[in-house]
Amino acid sequence: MSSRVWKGETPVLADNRGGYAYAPQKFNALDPNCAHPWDFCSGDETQEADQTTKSVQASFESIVIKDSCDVEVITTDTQAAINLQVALQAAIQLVISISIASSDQAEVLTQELTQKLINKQVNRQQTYIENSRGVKVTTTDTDLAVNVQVLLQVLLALVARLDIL
Amino acid sequence: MSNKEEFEKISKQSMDLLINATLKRHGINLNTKPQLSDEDRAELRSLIEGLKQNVESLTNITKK
Repeated sequence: MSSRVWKGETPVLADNRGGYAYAPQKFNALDPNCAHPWDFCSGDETQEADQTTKSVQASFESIVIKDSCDVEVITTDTQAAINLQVALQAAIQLVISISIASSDQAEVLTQELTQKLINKQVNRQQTYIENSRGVKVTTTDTDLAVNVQVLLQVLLALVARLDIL
Repeated sequence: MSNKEEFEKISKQSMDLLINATLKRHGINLNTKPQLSDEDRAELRSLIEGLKQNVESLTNITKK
């Protein structure tokens, strides 16, 4: 296959969104003539990216205690919270599948209900205690706590609406 | 009505609306109730109670 570049044509680069890449020129925020690369995208693409980001679930926590005594740290057990979140999602699916004959439809419904409500951003917590005595620190992963509470509300509302119990 | 009660009421109302709208959109008939045995109902009730207690105690889990 002959190369068009060698014939003197400008190479056209297509990005993974199906549009054209404008990347070669570096964006400069202080230059009023320089458009942001995302300005070439339509609104739909922005929404798509936003929806994908919502499904990200990550939680990182590190606690360092150095040269200290009588230190008490109270924190959310992330693993326990995630397990509980999964258990609640399973219970929601169970309730839906009991009420709805089609298992495919039950799965779609469960995903729709839970993914709409679970809002998780990357949570990073770092606690560093050094040369301290008699310290008490309490940290909470608010995102996880809110997620399980919302899922419980969905489960209770579903049970009431479908009149299962 | 206190702020907390008001918030809980609005939260419940929006949750009910969301569930109703989602079920309707998928054309699910809510008039036919699922046939469950007493044993199944008791098991389900116990599962939901357990999950409720776990959610309540989640923030009190202590790691040292």
